[in-house]
Amino acid sequence: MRRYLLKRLVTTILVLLLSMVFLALLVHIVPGDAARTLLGPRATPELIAKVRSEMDLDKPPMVQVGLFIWKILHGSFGTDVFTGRPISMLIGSALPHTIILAFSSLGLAVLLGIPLGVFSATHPDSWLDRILALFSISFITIPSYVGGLFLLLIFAVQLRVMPAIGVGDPSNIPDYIKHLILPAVALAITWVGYLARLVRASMLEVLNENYIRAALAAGIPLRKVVYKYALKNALIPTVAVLGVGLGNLMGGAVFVEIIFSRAGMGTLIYNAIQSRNYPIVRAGVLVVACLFIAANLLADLAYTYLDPRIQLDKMQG
Amino acid sequence: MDPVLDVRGLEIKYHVREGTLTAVRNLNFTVGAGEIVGIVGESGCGKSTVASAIMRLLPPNGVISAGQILFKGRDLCRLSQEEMRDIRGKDISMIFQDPLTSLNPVFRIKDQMLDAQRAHHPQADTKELLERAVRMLERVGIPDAADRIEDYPHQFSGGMRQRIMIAIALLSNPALLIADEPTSALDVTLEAQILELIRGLRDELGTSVLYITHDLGVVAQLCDRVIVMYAGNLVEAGDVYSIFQSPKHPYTRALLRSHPSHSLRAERLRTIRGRVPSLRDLPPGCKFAPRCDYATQTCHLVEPGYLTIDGQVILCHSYHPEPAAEPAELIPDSHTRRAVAQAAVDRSFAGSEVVVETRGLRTYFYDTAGLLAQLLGRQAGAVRAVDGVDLRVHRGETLALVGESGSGKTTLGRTILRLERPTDGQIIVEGQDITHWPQSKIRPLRARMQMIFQDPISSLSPRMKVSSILLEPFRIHHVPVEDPERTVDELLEMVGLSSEQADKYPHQLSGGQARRVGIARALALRPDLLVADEPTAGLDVSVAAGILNLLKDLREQLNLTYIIITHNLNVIGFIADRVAVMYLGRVVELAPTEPLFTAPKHPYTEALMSAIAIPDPSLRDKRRRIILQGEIPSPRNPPAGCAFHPRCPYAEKRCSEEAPLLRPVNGGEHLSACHFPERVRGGAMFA
Amino acid sequence: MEFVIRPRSQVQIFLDRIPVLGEVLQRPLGALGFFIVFMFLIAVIFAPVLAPYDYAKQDIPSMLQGPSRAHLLGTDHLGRDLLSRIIYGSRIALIAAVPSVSIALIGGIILGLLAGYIGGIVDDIIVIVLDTIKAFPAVILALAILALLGPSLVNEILVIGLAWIPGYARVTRAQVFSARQNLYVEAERSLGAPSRRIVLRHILPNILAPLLILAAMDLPVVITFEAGLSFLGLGVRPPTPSWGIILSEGFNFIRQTPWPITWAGLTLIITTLGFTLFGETLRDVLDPRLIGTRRA
Repeated sequence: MRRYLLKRLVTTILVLLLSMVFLALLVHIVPGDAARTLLGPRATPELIAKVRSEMDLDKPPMVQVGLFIWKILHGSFGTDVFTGRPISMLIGSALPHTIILAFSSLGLAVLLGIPLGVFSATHPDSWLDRILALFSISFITIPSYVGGLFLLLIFAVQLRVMPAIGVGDPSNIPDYIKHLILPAVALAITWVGYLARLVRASMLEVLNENYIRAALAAGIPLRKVVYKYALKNALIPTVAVLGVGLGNLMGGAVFVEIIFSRAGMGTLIYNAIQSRNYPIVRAGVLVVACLFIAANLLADLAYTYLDPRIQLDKMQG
Repeated sequence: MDPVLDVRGLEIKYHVREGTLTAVRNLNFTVGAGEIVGIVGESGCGKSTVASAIMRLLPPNGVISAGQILFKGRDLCRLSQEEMRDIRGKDISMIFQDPLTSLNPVFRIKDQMLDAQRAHHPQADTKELLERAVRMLERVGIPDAADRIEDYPHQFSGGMRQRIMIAIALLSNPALLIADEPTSALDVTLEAQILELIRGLRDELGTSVLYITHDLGVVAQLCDRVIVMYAGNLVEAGDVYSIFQSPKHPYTRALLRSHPSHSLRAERLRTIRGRVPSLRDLPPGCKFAPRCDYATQTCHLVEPGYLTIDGQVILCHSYHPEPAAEPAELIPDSHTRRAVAQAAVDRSFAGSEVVVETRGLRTYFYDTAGLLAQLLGRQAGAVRAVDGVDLRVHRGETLALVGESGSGKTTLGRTILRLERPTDGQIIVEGQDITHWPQSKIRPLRARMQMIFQDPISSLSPRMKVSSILLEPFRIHHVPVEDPERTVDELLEMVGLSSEQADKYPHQLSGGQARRVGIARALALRPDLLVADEPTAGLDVSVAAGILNLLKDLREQLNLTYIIITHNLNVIGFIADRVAVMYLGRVVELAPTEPLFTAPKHPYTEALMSAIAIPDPSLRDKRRRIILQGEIPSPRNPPAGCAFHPRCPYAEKRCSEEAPLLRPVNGGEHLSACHFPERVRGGAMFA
Repeated sequence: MEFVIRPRSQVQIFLDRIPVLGEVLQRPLGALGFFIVFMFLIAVIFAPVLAPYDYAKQDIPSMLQGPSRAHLLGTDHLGRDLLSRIIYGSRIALIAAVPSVSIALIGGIILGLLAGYIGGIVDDIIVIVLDTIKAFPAVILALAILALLGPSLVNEILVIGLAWIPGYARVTRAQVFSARQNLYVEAERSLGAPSRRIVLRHILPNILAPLLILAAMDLPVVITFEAGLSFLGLGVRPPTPSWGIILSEGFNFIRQTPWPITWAGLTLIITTLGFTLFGETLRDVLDPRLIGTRRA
C-alpha cells in the first residue's frame, strides 16, 4: 500500500515537472518573438528588450525551463506586462470562481446522476429505463456551450428571470448563488447523463455478481441488498471517474465562463490568448493542469481507500 | 416421516430473445429429513436451475411453469416474495460454486454474518448475534474466529471462504441446505475437508442436504440417494449403492463407464458418442435417444415415462438388463479403434533414451523490483514456484506432474519448455543443455517440444479459422506445405475431427473439439515431447474420456513422450507411467504409477490418494480417510525443514529441522522425500 | 413443443439476413441513431443540392429574420440563409472529425504497441509523456497550443489529434498487456513464433476491433469539440460555416435573434446523439463477438 502510494506520488511529480517543461518551451513552437507578438507592432525596441529579459526569452532554452520552474517553486509567475500586477494575483482572484463553479456542477451531477442510474439499474429494460437511457445519452451529447447558450437564451434573454452576466457579489450569498445556477447547470448536464449511464452499467454488473445471489439466498431483503450490498460496490468505480470529471468540468468551465461573462480561469486564459499575453496563458494553463492532476490523484486515493481489496493486492504486488 | 422437500412435476422455462426454452421438465424427487441427496449431471442438464428454482432465485427470464415444490408441506411456488424471503436463509440455505465471488468484497465478514441473521431476527441483540456467528465460524473450522470475523473476504483463502459461506448458510440451523458444486473450485485435499465438514454437520444438526455436482466420485462418497439428470430430465434416481452398482438407465451406465480411473489402465474409456444437445435443439422423443446404444424407433419419437425397477426410477421406454456382450457401437472413436496392448499397463522405460532431464531446476518469480523499490532499499521477495527439481523423462514415457494449486507443477512444465526463465539448475533436452540458450536458438527446437494448454478455446487465436491455426506451426518454422487443405484434413482426422471443422472459428467449437484442435496443432510438426497442462480440465466426463483415449492412442501411434500436468488423480491412474508428486515447488515422491497408487511412500501422496473421489460408494466406509489439516503454505516463505511437516500426521521434530532428500525406498524406482516413509501405510483403494 | 420460437415479422426476417447492421436496426435506439447518421451523411454529400442558397451570400436587408417561406430557418446578422449554412456546416464537422480521430487512432496504436510490446523503460517513458498530455484538460491544451499556432482548420485537426492520442495509446497498451496474458499468445510462443509475428499477426488484429469502435464513438465527441473551438474563434475562420461559428455569431446577436443559436445548437445535439446511439448499439451488437467467447 505504501509502496503504491509512493509510486503514484513519484509519477505525479514527474508529470508535473514535464508539464512545466512543456509549457516553458511552448513559446518556441512558433517562429517569431513572443515579446514582440505580445506588445504589438508599435512597441519600441527598448520595451521589447525589457520584456524579453523579464520573460527570460533572452536566455538559452534550458535556462528558461530551469528559471520557469524555479520561479514557480518560489510562488512567482512573474508580473503582467500591461497592468504591472503579479500574475499570481490575477489567478488568485479568478480561481475561486472556477473552483466553486466546477464543484457545484459536480455536486449537481452526483445528486442527479447517481439516483437516476440506480433507478435504471433496478428496473432494467422497463419503459422508464429506456426513456431514461435516451435522456441520459441526450444529456451526454449536449456540450456545455450549447447548454449554456440555450439556458442563457431561455432564462436570461427571453424570460429574464436569471442574471446573464458576471459572478454576482461574492459577499451577497443569494446573489452569488443566483449567478451560479445557470452556469453550473449548463456545465453539469453532460455529467448528469454520464454518471447515470456509468452507475447503471456498474450496478447491473454488480447485481449479477455471485455475492448478490448469495445475499438474497441468505434471506436479506431485496432493498437492503440493492442499496447496501450492491450500491457500495457499484460506486467504487464511479469515484475514480469523478476525478477525471472534475478536470473535464474545469475545461468545460472555459465555455461557460465566456458565455456568462464570469471572471474565472477560463475567461482569464481566453482573454490572455486574445491579447497574446503569453505569460498569463502559461501560468493559467499550469494552474488548471495542477488542479486536474491533484483531482485525479485524490480520486485514485479515495478509490484505494474505499476498496479493501486493492490495499492487499498492492501490498502483494 | 414426511420428506423435507417434495418436488412434483416441476417444469422450468426460460424466455430468451428467440423464444422459450424448457430447461427442466417433469421432475419429481424428495429429500428426507437428515438425508443427503445428490443431483448429478453434465453441464447444461438443468441441475443448477433446479437449485435456483427451489430458492425462487431464477434469473428474471426464468419461470416455474408447472409443478409444485413442497417444503414441509408448503408449496414454495405459491409464496409471495416476502414469504419466500423469510424462508431463504432461515429454513433453506444455499452455498455456491465459487467461494471467491460469493462473499461481498467490501464488507467485513462480521457485517455479512450479522445482516444474514438480522434478516430473520431484526430485534435480536447484536452481541448475541455476534457470539453465535463466532461460534459458527469456529464450528466450520476458522481458526481465531473471534478476531478474524473482523476481516474482509479477500483476506481468506478459497477453502476458508467456502467454510465461511457454509457458516453463514447454517447460522439459523436450516432444515435444508442446497449446495451447488461447492467444491469444484477447490483442490482435492480442501474438497475432502469440505465434504467431511458437510457430512459432519448433517450428522450433528440433522440438516437435509441437496448436493449438486458433476462429479460422480463426490456423489459416491457423500450422498445417500442420487438423482441423475440429462438435458432437463431426471433419467435415473435411487439409492446411491444401487445406482453405482447396477445402473439401469443407459446414460447412467455410459457415464459411469467413461469415468477414468486407475483400475482401467489397461483399457480404453467408453465415451458417449455425440454430445449433450442444446436446449434449442432437443430431439422430440427421449432426449438421450440419439446417443443411446439401445434406442429404438419408439425412443426417437415418443417421450418415455418413468419406470420403477428394484427401487430405482428410470426414464426409459424399456429396461435393458446389462447385455452380455457390448454392442459394437460401444467400442467407439471410429478411426482410432485399435486394440490397446496389455503391455501398456506395466511399460518400463528405465533403459530407453532420456528425452528431457532437469537437474536442480529452480524457477523463482521475483517481485517486480522497480527502480523505486531499489531506491527505497527494499529487498525483492520471491515466489519459489519450482525449487530444486531433478527429473528424467524417457522416450515414449508418460510422466505425470501432480499437485494442488501452488505446487509449481505448471511452472515446472513451462520451464522445461523454456516458456519461463529458469533461475537455477539445468534443462537438458536430448543431451543438449538448453538452460541458457537464447530464445532465437530455442525457437527451432520448439517444433519438437510442444505444449497443449489448459483452457482449450482461449488457447486458439480467436480471429483465425481452424485451418489457419493448424497451418500456423508450418508457417512459423518455414516448413513448406504442398497441399495445405490435405494437411489440415489429415491433422483433423488424426485427432478425430471431421474436415468440416476446418472452416470454423474457435468460439464455434465445443470444449472437446477445441481441445482436439489444440492437440492437432501441437502435433503438426511431429514433436517428440508433448507437455499437456490439465488436458481434461473443464470438460464433461464423457468428453474428457474421449480426449484421454486420444492421448493414449496418439502416444502409441507416434511414439510420443508426454509430460502431463494435472491435479486429477483419476486421470493419472489411467494414463501415466510414472508420477511425480509435487508440493511447494519440490517433488516429494516419484514412482511408477502402480506402486504409487497401491503403496505410496510419502504422507502427502497418501493423503491425496485418500482424497480421490472414487465413483464407488461401497469403498467409502472401507477406505482409510486422511483429512489433512490446514492449507498449503505460501510458496513465498515455505516452512523450514520438510515443507509438508506442518500438515503431516507423522511429523516429528526432525522434520521441522532437516529437509528430507528424494531418495529410493524399497528398490530403485520408487523415490520419496520423507524421513519416515515406513510410517505411510495406505494406498488409494485399501483400508 | 420444446423450443417455442417467437413469430417474426417480414421486416425482422429481412433484417435478420443483414449481418450486424440488421441487428442494430432491430433495436429502437440503434435505428434512430442510424437514421440520424444517415441524414447527416446525406447532408454532407448533397450539400450543394440541398442548400437553397450560397452559404456565404450576404443579404443585409433581410438580416436577422426568423423562419419564413424564403428562409426556412431564418437568416443571420449578415442576412445569410441559416439552413444553407447549417447544411454546409456538416461538411466541416466531418472534415475536422475524421482526420483528427485518425491521427489519434494511428498515433495511439503505434505508441501503445511500443509501450506494451517493448515494455521496461520505453513503457515508463511513454506512459509519463501520455500522462503529461492527459494532465491538461483537452480544451485548455487546445487553447494553449492554438493560441500560439494561430487558428486554422489544419492546426485544429493536429491539436485534437494530439489531445486524443493518450486515450487510444492507453487502451492499446492495456489491450496488449491483457492479450499477452492470453493463452493463444502463449500457445504461439510455445510454437516458436517470434514476438514481432505475435504482435502483428495475433495481438493487433484482436485489439483493432475494440479500438475502431472506440474511434467511432469518439467521432461525435470530436465533432462537438471542434465546434467548441470554432465557437471560441480558434478553429476554422468565418465565413466558413462551422456550427461552432454559427453559434458564436449567434451569441453576439443573442438579444436580437434566438434562431442561429437554436438551430445550430439543436443540429449539434441531434447529430452527436445520432452518432452516439448508433455507436453504442453497434458496440453492444458486436461486443460478444469481439471477446470471442460467444459459442455457436
